[in-house]
Amino acid sequence: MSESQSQNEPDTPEERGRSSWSTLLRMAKPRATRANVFAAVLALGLGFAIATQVQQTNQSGLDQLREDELVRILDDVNQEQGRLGNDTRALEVTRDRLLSGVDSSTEALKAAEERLDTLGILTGTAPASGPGVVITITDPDHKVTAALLLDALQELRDAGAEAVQIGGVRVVADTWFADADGGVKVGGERLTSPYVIRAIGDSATMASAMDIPGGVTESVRREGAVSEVKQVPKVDVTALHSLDEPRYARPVPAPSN
Amino acid sequence: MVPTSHRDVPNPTTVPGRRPDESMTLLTSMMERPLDPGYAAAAARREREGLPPSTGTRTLVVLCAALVIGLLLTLGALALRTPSTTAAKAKAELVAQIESRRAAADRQERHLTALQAQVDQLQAKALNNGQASSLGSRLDTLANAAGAVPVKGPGLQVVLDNAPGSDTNSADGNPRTGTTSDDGKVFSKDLQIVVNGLWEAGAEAISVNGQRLTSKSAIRFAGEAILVNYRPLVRPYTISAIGDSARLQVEFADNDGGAYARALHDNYGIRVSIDRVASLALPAASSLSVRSASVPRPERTPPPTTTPSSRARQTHTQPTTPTSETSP
Amino acid sequence: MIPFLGLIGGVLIGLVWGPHVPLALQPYLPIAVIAALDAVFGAVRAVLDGIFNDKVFVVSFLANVVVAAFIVFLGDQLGVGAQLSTGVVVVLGVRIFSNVASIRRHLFKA
Repeated sequence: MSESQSQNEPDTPEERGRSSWSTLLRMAKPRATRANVFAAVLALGLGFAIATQVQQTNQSGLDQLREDELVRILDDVNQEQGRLGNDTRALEVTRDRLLSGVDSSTEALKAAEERLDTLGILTGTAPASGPGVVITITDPDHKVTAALLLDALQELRDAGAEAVQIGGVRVVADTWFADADGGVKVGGERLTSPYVIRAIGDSATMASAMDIPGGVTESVRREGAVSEVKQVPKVDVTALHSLDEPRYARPVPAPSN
Repeated sequence: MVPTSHRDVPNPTTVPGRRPDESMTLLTSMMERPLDPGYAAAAARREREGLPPSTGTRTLVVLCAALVIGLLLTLGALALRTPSTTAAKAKAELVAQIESRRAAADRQERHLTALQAQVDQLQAKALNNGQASSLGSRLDTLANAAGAVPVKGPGLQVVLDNAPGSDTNSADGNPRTGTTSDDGKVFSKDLQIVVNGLWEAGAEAISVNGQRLTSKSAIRFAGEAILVNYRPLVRPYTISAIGDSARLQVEFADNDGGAYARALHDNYGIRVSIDRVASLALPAASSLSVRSASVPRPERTPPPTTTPSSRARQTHTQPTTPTSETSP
Repeated sequence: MIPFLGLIGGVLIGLVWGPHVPLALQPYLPIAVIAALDAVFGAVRAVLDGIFNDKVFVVSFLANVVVAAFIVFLGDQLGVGAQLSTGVVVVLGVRIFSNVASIRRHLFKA
C-alpha cells in the first residue's frame, strides 16, 4: 500500500477517478495471501448458499398440500411404480426371447404384432374393445362447453382410459376441443347433444372419477344438462383416426448400445 | 458530481458547534450509544463516592436476574418453536416417501425407455430378414404417432408461471396467515386449455415440463400441485410444441387457447411467454402399454354382424390406406 | 461465573417445570426475549468496559421487557401491532449488534 502513496497525489477529479479505477484493478489482481484465500472461501460459501436458497424457493409445492392429498399422490406414484414394474418385466421377457435367437423371427413377429396392436389402439388406427364405461350427456339447452368435455376426457384418462370415442370421433393425443354453434367440435368434427362417450379401461375407476365432488357429473348437472354413466363389461370403440404424416417432428434415432 | 474519497475533507455546511445530523438524533443515539447510559452514570457516581466503578457480577441480584432471563429464554424457545406434532411429522414422512418413490419411478422409466429401444432394435433386425419389413415400417410410423420415440423439430414454447408475489408466505412462515390469493396461480385447467389450443393450432407433438403427452396423458390437479402423467410438476410450466412455428404462433393467437392465455395474463397477472424456437427436443413417453383394451379379432366363423371389426381388421393390417370410420 | 450459572439454572428450571405460557401473553414472548437479550449484551459490554452495575442491569432488563411489551400491546390496540413490533425489533436488534461489536473489539481486538 505504501508504494501507492509515494506516487504523486492525484489532485484533479479526473486523476482521482482514474486512481480509483487503478486501485480497483490492483485489488482485482489475485494475490495469494491468507486473507485472500479465506475471503475466497467465504465468497464461495455465500454463492453456494444463495444458489441453494434460490433453488429451495422454486421447489415443488408438496409441503403445502394437505395430508389426504399427499396420500393420494403417494397412491398414484405407487400405482405408477407397479405399472412400470409390470411393463419392464414384460419387456425383459420379450427382449430375452429375442436375444436368445431361438425361433427369434417368429418371436419377433409375434412381439411386433402385439406392439402393433398396442400402438394401433393408442394412435386410434385400430379398433378396440374391452371393459369400460359409456357416458351419455344430454344437453338440450346447449350449455355444455368444449372445456367441460375436455375436462371429462382428462378425468377419464387420469382414471386409466386407454381408448376413447366421443360420438363418432376417436379421441387421441392431438384431439382438440372447441366450441361451435349449438355443439362442440371434437377433433375438427362438430358434435351435438347427446354426447356419447365410450371409454375402455377400468370401469369402476372411471365411473367413480366422474362422480367425484366438483367432477364432471356435478359440472354437467350445474349447466342444466344430464349425464348418465354406465359401466359396461364390453365397450367397442370402432371409430378410427387417420394419421397425418408429421412434417416437423423428426424422430431422434435411439443410441445403439 | 465530484467523486469523493476518504482523503478529502468535506466542506463544513453547518454552524460550528452543532452536529450536522442533529435531526437524526433518534437513529444516531440508537447506533452510537447502544449501552445504557445508566451504566456510565452509575459508574461516575460510584467513583465520586470512592467505590470501584463496577459492582462486580457476584451479587445476589445478578443471580436472580440471570435465573429469570434463563427461564424467559427457555419459555420462549418452548412456546414459539414450530410444534412438530404428529400430524406434521406424518406429513414430512409422506413427502419424503413421495420424493423417494418418484425418484425410483424416474429411474425405472429411463430403464424402460432404454429397454423399449433395445427391443425395437432387435425386432427391426429380426424382421428385416423376413417378409415383414412393411410391418417394421408400420411399427415405426405408429411409434412416432403415439409418442414412443423422442422427436426434434422447430416449434413454439409456451411458459406459464404464477403471478409474481402470489405465493409469498407471511413473515412468520405460517401458511395459514399468508396472503395467498388463488387468482395468480396457474391451475391444471389453464394448462389443459393452452395445450388444447396448441393441438388445435396444428402441433405435432407436445410435452409439458419434459412429460410427453400421449393419448393416455392426463393433466390433473391434486391440491396445489399439477400432475401430468401422474407426475407432479414444478413451476414454471414449460409447454413445448413441435410444428410450423410461424403457423403455430399465428393460429394459437387466433384460437380460443391463445385468447385464454392472453386473458390469464391480462386479468390475473399470470406470467405467459410464447416464443418460437428453432429446435425443440421432446422425450419419448415411457409407459405406453394397454391393459384393458384389445383389438377385436374376427372369430373362426365370423357371424355376419362383425362387419365393422373385419373391415377394421383389413384397415389394420394393410398399411396403405387407413380409413377413418365416422358415424353420421 | 455466577450469572452464567444463573442462566443455566434458569434454563433447567424452564425445561423441568415447563410452565405453560397463557395464550394471551404468547404474542409478547418474542419481544420479551429480544429485549432480555439486549439487556444481557449490554451487561456483558458493561462488564468488559469495567462499569457494570447490578442495579442498572436489573432495571434496564425489566424496563426493556415491560416497555417493549407495552409498545407492542399499544400497537395491537391501535391496529399497527405488526409495524410497531417490527420497529421495536429493529431498534433492539441494532443495539444488540452494536454491543456485540464492542464486545468483539474487547475480546478479539478485531
